[in-house]
Amino acid sequence: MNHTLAPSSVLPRADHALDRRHIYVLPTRGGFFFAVVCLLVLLGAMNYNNAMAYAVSFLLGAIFVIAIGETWRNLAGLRCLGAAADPVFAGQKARFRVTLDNRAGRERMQLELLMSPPRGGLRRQPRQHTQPFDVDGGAIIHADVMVPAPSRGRLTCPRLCIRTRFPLGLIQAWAYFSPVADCLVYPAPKGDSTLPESMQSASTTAQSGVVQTGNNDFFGLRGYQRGDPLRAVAWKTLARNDQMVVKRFTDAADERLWLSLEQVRALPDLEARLSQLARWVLEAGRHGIAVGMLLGAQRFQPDHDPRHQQVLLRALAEFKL
Amino acid sequence: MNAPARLANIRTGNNHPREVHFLWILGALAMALLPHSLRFSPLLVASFLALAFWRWAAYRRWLPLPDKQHRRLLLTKTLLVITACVAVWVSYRGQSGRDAGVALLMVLVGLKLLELTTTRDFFIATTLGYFLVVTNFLYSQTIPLAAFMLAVITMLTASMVALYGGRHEREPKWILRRTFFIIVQAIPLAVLAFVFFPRIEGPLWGRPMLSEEAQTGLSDEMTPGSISNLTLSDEIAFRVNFNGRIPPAAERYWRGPVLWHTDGRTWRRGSLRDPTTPQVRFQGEPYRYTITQEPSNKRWLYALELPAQIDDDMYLTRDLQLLGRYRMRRRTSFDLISYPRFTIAELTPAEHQLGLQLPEDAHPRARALAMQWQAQAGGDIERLVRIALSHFNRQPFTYTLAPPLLTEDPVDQFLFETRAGFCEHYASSFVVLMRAAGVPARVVTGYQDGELNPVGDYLIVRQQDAHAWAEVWIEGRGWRRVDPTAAVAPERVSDGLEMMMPARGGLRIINDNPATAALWRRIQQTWDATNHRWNQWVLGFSPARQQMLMRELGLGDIDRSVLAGVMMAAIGATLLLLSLSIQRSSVRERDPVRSAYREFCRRLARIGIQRVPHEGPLDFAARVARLREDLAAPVAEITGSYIDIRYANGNGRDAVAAFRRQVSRFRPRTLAVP
Amino acid sequence: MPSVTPLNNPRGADPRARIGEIIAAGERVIVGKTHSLKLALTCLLAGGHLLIEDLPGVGKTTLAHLMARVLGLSFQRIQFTSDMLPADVIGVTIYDRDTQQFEFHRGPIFSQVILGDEINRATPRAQSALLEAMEERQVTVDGVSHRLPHPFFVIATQNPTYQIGTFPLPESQLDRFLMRISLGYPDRDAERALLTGQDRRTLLENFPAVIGPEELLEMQQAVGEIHTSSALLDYVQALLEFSRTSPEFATGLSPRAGLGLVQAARAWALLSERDSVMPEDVQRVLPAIAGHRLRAADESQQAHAADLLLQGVPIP
Repeated sequence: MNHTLAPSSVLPRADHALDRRHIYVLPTRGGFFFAVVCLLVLLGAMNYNNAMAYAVSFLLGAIFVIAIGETWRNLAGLRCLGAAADPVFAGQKARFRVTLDNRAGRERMQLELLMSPPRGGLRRQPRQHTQPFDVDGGAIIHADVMVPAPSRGRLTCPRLCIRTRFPLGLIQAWAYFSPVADCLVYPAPKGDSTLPESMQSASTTAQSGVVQTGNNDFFGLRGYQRGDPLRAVAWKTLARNDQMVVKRFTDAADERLWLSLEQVRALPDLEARLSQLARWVLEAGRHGIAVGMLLGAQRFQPDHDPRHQQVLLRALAEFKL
Repeated sequence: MNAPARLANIRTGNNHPREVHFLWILGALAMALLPHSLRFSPLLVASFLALAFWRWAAYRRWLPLPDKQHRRLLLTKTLLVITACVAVWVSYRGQSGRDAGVALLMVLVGLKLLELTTTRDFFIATTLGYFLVVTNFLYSQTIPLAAFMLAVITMLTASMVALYGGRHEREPKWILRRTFFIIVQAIPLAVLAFVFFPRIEGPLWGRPMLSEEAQTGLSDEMTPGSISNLTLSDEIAFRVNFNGRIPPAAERYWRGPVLWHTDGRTWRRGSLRDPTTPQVRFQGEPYRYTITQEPSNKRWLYALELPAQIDDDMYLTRDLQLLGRYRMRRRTSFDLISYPRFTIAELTPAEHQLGLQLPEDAHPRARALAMQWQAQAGGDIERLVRIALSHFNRQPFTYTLAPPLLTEDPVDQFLFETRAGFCEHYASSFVVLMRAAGVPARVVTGYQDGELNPVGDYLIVRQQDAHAWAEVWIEGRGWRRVDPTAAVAPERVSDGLEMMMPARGGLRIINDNPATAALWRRIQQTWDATNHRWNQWVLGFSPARQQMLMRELGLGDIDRSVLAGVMMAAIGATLLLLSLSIQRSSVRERDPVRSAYREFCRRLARIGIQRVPHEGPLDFAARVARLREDLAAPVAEITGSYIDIRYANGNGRDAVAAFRRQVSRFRPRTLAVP
Repeated sequence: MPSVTPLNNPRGADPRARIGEIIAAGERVIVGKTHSLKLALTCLLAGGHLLIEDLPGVGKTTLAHLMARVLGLSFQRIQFTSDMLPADVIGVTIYDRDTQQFEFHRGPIFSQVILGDEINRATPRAQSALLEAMEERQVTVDGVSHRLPHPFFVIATQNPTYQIGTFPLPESQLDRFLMRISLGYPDRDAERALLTGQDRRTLLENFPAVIGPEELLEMQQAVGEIHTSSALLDYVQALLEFSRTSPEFATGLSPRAGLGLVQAARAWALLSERDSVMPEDVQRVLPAIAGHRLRAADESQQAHAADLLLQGVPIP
C-alpha cells in the first residue's frame, strides 16, 4: 500500500438503514379484530358448507398476509441519517430534527415517529407521536420529534421508533434507531435578583491594542465622557457642531459586566444560581451589555457577539456535569 | 438525486377520518347491500339510505350527529336501535332465521354509519361490510354475484387504504391502484388456501338456515297438469357428466318418485313400507357417470335406470327409487354406475295388491275397455301391452303441452273424449287400464333425455324434461318399463321435448334466423358449461372432491393434519418469498460488476471480515490482507479487476465476465483454530 | 497490490519517477510528516493554495521553504504584522525622479512560492490584498495589471485563532485555500531526529532542487489527465450532497470545494502512482479540503467533521 495512513478515527459506525433484522411486524388492534372476523367467516363457511364464504374467508386471510409484506416494505430500506437539535432552556421541549434518507426507496406513506415502542396487540396506543407523514421516493426529509428537556446539560436523543400502518392499518411495522445526537439544554433562566451594576469600560479596553477600524460595525454616537479614548472622538462632528461625541463600535464595548457565581451565593443551590446567571446573561444581551463571566476555572472575556452569549449559556449548561 | 431535504409534510389537522373516507366506505357498503335490496323490503333499504344521508349531512354540517354534545339526539339513536330491532323481529318472526339475521345486520350497518368518527369505527364498519358480503352468498353463489362481491371486497379494502392514504387520500385512482396491487397479490394465495385448506363436512352446529322456499321440481304427487306445468320451466334439475359412453336418448330415463296409489285423479306414493332392497340382476354394459343435482329440498335423487352401485348416504327403495338420507338442500354431486338392462324376480303380495289398486266405481269406460282387451290378449300380458299401445297409436290421440281441462272422470274423459294430453295423462291412464285388466302396474315419474352440451361434454337435464311413464309386472320378466307417450309421440322420447318448443329466452329476431339461433344456442351452452364447472369445482368442492384432487395430484390419501401442515408451509413459503423479495428490492443491483463485488464482500463477511459501507476497495483489500495473509493474493487480484473496471477505463464485456468468474471462484474459509 | 498500468505520458519523461524523489528529499528535512508532506505536494500539484494552521515552531515555515527548494522555485516570505499595509505585500508605484516616470516596485508577492507567515496577524486589508492576488493570479496597482509568476503557490500559516490579537480569516476567504493542514507535534523518533540532526535551516540553505518549474508544470498537466470514472464522480457527489443535507453539518461544501476535491484527489492518485482516481484518494485528501469549510452542527464535533462526512456516505 502506498497510503498507509488511514483517515483518522474512521470507526465503523452503525448504518441506520432499516433492514430485515431491524424491522418488527405485529398486527394492530384492528388487525387482531380483522383476523377474528376472518376466522368467524371460516367457521360459518364450514357450518353452512358455503363455498363462497370459504372463498371470502381465504381472500381476507390472504389480504392480511399481503398487508404484512406491504407494511414491511413501506419501512424497509429507509435510512436515518441522524438528528440534530438547537439548544433549548431547561423545562422546554427539545426539537430533534431527524433526517430520513429515502434516496434508495420508493414513496413511503404514513410514517410516524414515536418515542416509545408501539404497543402491539389489543392495548391502546399512547398518544405521543408525530402526525403521520409521507416521504417522496428518492428524497431526504426532516421530521421533528419533541423531547422534554427537564434539566440542564446535554440531552441525548432518545431511542426513537419509526412506525407505519400503511396500507390497511391491519399491521404495524416499526424499527428503532438511536441517532447520535444530543441537545444542549441551558439552565432555565430563573431568579429574581436584578442585574448587577455594569462597569464603564476603561480606556485600556482593547486587549488587542488595536484601534477598531475597518470591519468593526459602527454602532452610534454618544456624548463624550471623561476617560473615553481620544481616538474614538468623532472629530468631524466636533468640527461641525462643537460637540464632543465619541463613536461607538460594537466591538469596542463600553459597558461591561462581569458575572460570577460569587454574585449569586445567596441562592440555595447550584442549579438556582446557574439559572440566575442564565437569566442575567439573557437580560444583559437584551440591553446590549457585554458580559464576561467567571465560572470556576473558566474565564470568558466580555463580548457583544451573539455567539458569545451562546458560549456563556453553554458554559452554564455544562458546568460541573 | 439533488433533491434538497425538506421538512416532512406533516398534516396539521387531526388524524380522524373525514368525509372523503366516509364516502369510500359508504360506497362500498351500498354495493354490498345492493343484491339484498332486491330481496328485502324497500323500507329497510330506505332506512339505510336515510341513515347514510344523515351521516353525510353531518359531515357537511347541515345536521348534527347524535354525540355527547347532542344528548337528545343520542336518545333518538337509542330509540332507533330499539325500534329497528323490534321491527326486524316483528316482520321476520316465524320466517327463516337467515332473513332476520341479514335484516338485522343491515340495520346495524346503517346505525354504525351514524357512529363513524374514529378510525376504529371505520374499521368496524369495514368489517361489517365483509360480513354483508358473506350474507349475500347465503342466498346465491352464482358467478356474476361472486364477481360483483369481489368488486365489493376491493371497494371495502380500498376504503381502508383511503384511511391510510395520507396525501393521496383524495386521489381515487391512486387508492384503487394500491388496492388492486394488494388484491391481485392476495388472490393466488386465496386460491391456494381454497384448494388445500382441509375441508370439513358441515354442519358444525345446528342446522344450516337455508331457504325453505318451495323449489320447482317433481313432487311425490301427480295430477293431470302437474308435470306439464313443469315443462314451462327451463330451470336446471341436474347435470350429468358421463365417464365413457353416453347412452342414446331412448335410454335416458332418469328415475324419480314411483307412484302406486290413485284416487282417480291424483297419484301418490302409496303405503308400501318395505325396507328391503329388491334382488336385481344386471345385464349388459354399465354407464358410469356423475350427477350434480340442484337443490330440490326433497330426499329423492335421480339416477339413470338402474343404479347398481351407490354411495353410502343413499339407498334404493323396494320400488327402485334412489333416496338420499337428507333432503337435498344444496347442490350435490354423486358418482353412480347404472345398467340399462336389469330384471327383478319377485313381487311381494303387498306390491301385488298395491299394483292392482283402483278406486271403487271410477273409470267405468276404461274398465270396460280393459276387460275387452284382456279377453283379446288371453292372459298374454305382453300382447295386452301391445294392444294398449296400438290403441294410443291408432286412435286420434295427440300429444300437447296445453291439454284441455279434465272436469269429470279424468281417465275416461281423456281416453274417450279429449284424447289430447301430456305424458302424465298417458302414463296414468295406461296404468289404470293395465290394473283394470288385472296386471300390476305403477306410474314412474322422473326426467327423460336431457340436452347434451357439446361445450362441456355433459348432459343438462331441465325441469322441462320432466316425464312420467309406466311399469307393468310381467311374470317371469319382472317390472318392464312401458312409455305410452312414445306410442303417441315417438319424437318426444327420441329427440326430447326441446325440438317441440321454441328456443329458450332470446328475441324472436334471433330465434327466427337459424344462424343466429345456433349462435345463441352456442352462447347459452357455453355459459351453462361455465356454470356447471363453477358448480362442480368451486361451489361443490367438498371434502370428497378435495381428496379426489389430492389423489389426482399424486398426493394420495393425505391425512388432514398433513394437509393442514402443507397449507401452513405454503403460507410460510409465501411469506418467506415475500420477505426475500423485499430484501432483494431494497438492495437490488442491476450492475453486474457491483453485484459481483457485493457478492465478494458477502463471502468475506461470512468469514468475519465485514466491509464498512464507506470503506474503499483498496483499503478493504489491505485490511483483509492484514487480517488474513493467505487471502492477500486472491483478494488483491479481485480488487484489482474490480477497480480496473469500475474506476479505471478497463470496462469491457470480457473484463466483466472474467471478474465475475474470479469472484465465483473465490471461496474463503475460516481458519481452523490450531 | 492491485496492478497498476503505467501512466501514459506522451513526453516520455515519467513525472511519477520524480515524485518518489521529491518525497524522499522532503522527508530528510521534515521528519515523520510524510502525510502532511504529501498533502502539501498534492495541493501544489492540484494548483491550489495551502493554509497551515498550527502552533508556532512546529515547522510550518520549514515546510514552505522546503517546497520551494525541492521544486526549484523562487521563494519569498512575508511576515504579516498588524501594521502591514497592502503595499507591503503587492508593491508600490514610486515616482522616479531620474526617469520622470512612475515605476512599479514589485512587492514580495512576485515570487513562485510565497510563505505568508501568520496571516491572521495582519489587518483584514492586508489579508485581502494577498487573497485577491491568490485568486486572480495578478495584481492591479493604479490601474495597471501585473501578472504573477507561474507556477504561483501561496502557503499561508495561521496561528490557532484563539491566540490574542489575531484577525481570523473569514469563511469566504478560507474557501480560497484548497487545503488546510496542520502538522502537529513530531512523534518520539522524529523529535529525537530533530534534536540530534543538523539545524533545519542550515540544511535547507544548501538543499538541492529535485525538479525545476518546467517539470512541475508538466506534472500539473499530468494531474489533469488522471481519469475520473463516473462511479467516482457519483461518490464525490454523494459526499457533497450529504454535507449539504445532513443535519450533522451547519455548513456544507461549496461547489468550489467539490472541484478542488476532485482535482486534489487526482493529484493524490498521481502521487500514489495510479492513473485513475479511487475513492480512497478522495478520502485521503478530503479532511484537508473539508476541514476548514465544513461546519459541524455540534461544535464539539468540529474536529471530526470530515470523518463524520466520510462515515456518513457509503461508497456506491
